[in-house]
Amino acid sequence: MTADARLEVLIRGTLSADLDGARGGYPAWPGSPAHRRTVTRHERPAMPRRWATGVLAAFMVALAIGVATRPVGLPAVGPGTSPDLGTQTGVTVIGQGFDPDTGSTGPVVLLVQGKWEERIWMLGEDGYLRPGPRIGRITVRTDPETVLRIRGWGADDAPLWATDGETVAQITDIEQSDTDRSAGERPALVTVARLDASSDWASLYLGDVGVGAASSWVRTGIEAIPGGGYLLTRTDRVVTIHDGEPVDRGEVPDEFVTRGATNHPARYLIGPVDRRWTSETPRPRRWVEMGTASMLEMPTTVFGVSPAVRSAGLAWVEREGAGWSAVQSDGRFLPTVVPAAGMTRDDSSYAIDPTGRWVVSTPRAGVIGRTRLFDASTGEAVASVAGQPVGRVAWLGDAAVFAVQVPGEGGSEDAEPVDGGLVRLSPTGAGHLVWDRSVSDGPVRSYWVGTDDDHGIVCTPDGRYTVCTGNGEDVKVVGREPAP
Amino acid sequence: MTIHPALSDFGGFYARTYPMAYRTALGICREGPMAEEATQDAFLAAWRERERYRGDGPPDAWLLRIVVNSAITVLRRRRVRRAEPLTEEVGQAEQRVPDPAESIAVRQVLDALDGRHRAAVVLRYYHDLDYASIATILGTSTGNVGSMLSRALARMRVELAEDGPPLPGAAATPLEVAHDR
Repeated sequence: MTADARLEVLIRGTLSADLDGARGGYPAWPGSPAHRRTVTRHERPAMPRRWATGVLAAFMVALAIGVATRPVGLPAVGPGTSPDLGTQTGVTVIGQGFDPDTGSTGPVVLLVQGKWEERIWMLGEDGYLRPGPRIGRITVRTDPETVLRIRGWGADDAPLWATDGETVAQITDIEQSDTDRSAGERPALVTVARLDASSDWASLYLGDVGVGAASSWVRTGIEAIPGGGYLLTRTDRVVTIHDGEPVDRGEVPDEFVTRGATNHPARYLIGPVDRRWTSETPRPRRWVEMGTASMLEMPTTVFGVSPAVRSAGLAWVEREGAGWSAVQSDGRFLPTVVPAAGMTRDDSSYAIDPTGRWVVSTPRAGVIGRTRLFDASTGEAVASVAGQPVGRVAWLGDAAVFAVQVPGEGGSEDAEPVDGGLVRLSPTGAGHLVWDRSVSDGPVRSYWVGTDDDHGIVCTPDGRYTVCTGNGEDVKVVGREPAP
Repeated sequence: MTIHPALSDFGGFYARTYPMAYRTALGICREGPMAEEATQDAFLAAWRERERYRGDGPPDAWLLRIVVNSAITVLRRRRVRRAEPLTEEVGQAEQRVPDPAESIAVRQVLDALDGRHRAAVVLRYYHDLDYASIATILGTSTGNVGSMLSRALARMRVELAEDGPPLPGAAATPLEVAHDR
C-alpha cells in the first residue's frame, strides 16, 4: 500500500470513527415517522444495529476492565406498565439510545450518580435495568440540570422524559433539600408508562428550544418533537411538525412580541412547550409560566441562562448592545448594567452561588480573558482572575472554583499553555491559586470541576484523574487514579 | 410561496438529513457544540431559503453546501483555541480505530487544516463525493478541488511525518508539493 493510500485509509477510518453515529444535540425524534428515512448514497450504509453493537462492545470493554460488576440496585419494571419505581437515589435520565442511521431506538439510558462513580444503566426490552459501561464522556456528573442541558434536554422545572420508543420514563425529579445535597443524594422518582400513537405528544417535553446544548447560548432553534414540535426562528414564525409534516402556525401573536428600540423582536422559549402556548397571554419582560412552559420576553438578546436560573432567578441578557445585565425571574432587571467590557459574548460558563448574590462568569473555553466575580445585586465585578479557563466553574462553599491555563509566549490564543492551576475566587478572599503542584508537573490541559456534593471537585490534569476535596479555604488532593 | 416538492416536507427533510448535516459540520468544526450551532444555522438558512431551491441538483447537495458554508462561518466566528476534551470515551478508540496513535495524529493534522480544506477532506473521504459534487458544494472548480485535496494531503503527510507515527512507505516517498491547476 502506498503512503497516499495508507493516508487515505487513515483519514477515512478516523473520520468514520469520529463522525459515524454522531447525532448532535438536536436530533429528530427517533420514533417519529420522519426519522425513518432511507440511506442516501451520500451516507455510508448503516451497520446493522450499530447502536446495540457499540453499546455491547463498550459494555464488554467495561467488563474487561472490571468496572461493570456492580449489582443492579434498581427495581425492574416492565414495559407497557405504569409502575412507580419509587423514590430512587441518584437516578437521572440523560437520554435514550438510538441508532441515528436506522432510527431504531435502543434502551433508555440512565445515569446513576454515585460517590465518585457514574454509570450508564440501560432499560432493556424486558424492562430490567442493567448496568452499562462506566461513563467516560459525560462531563458534568452531579448537576442534573446541566447534564440535561448538555443533552439539550430538561429545564429547571420541566418533567424529564426518556423513552425507548415504546415506554416512556418520566422523572419527576428534582426535589433537593439541603440535607440531600450535603449527603450527595439526589432523589428521583421514575415512572414508566406506555404512550400510544394518539397520545398528546406535544405536551411531552423534549428540549429547551433556543438554549444551546453545551454552551448555554440562547439562539434560534429548530426542534422536532414527536407529533407536536416546532420550529422557532427569530423571524417569529412558528412551525409545528405533525407526523413529519410541518404546519405553519404563522406569526406569533402580537401579545408574544415585545419590540425594542431596534425593532428587533426577540423572544425565546425556555423550557417545555405545550399546545397551550397560543392561549396564554404572557406578560412582557417576565418569565411567563404557561402550563409547564416558561417564556422570557424582552427586547434584547438573551445572552444566556444560568442552570441555576430557577433557584437564583437570574439570566444574563444583552440590553440593546449597551452591555449585559441580569434579569430576575420576576422580570426585574438588576439595577446595574454590567459594562460590555466586563461581560462579553465570550463569557459562557457561569455559576451562581446558593444565595443568588454572587455570580462568576468565565470566558468561553479557549479564550483568554478574565474570570469575574459579580455582585448580582449591583452588577459590579468585585474580583477577577486573568487566564484561560478550561472546563467549568463550580461553587464550593463560599468560593467559585475553576481552573485556568496560563498561555505561553506571546499570550495569544494559540500559545501553548505553560502553567495553570485551580483557582478559588471568593467575594471575601478574592482569588488565589490553590493548585497542589504535586498533582501535575505541567500546565493544566484537561480537567473538569464539578461538585459531588457541596464540597468536592474532581479534576483530570495531564490525563490522570485526581480526586480532590475543597472545603472552605482548603482544596487538597486526596487521591488519584489513572485515567480509564 | 412556491416550495420545491423535495423540500415541501421540511420536517421530513430535516429528520432525514440532520445526521448527514451534523456529521459534515462536525468533521469541519471538529467540536460538537460548534457543529451543532453550524447545523442549526444551516437548517435555519435552508428553511429561509427553501423557496430558492429549484431542484437543479440533489437537495442533499444543496443542503451540504449550506452546511459547509455555515460551518466555515462558525469556525471563523469562533477563532478560539480548542480545549482538550474533558474526558476520554471509554474503549471507544479501541473499538473503532486499529491504531489509536495514528488516529490521534490524523485528528491533529485535520485540526490544523483550515475550514475549507477540512470541508474538502470530509466531503471526499467521509461522504465519498466525487470532485464535481465537491466543487458544486464548495462553489469552486473541479480542478481546484483536486488542488485543495492534494494540498491537504501533502500537509497531512508532512505533519504526520514530523509528529506522528511513520506511515508505511512514507519515508521512501518524497514530499510532494501541490500545484494549483
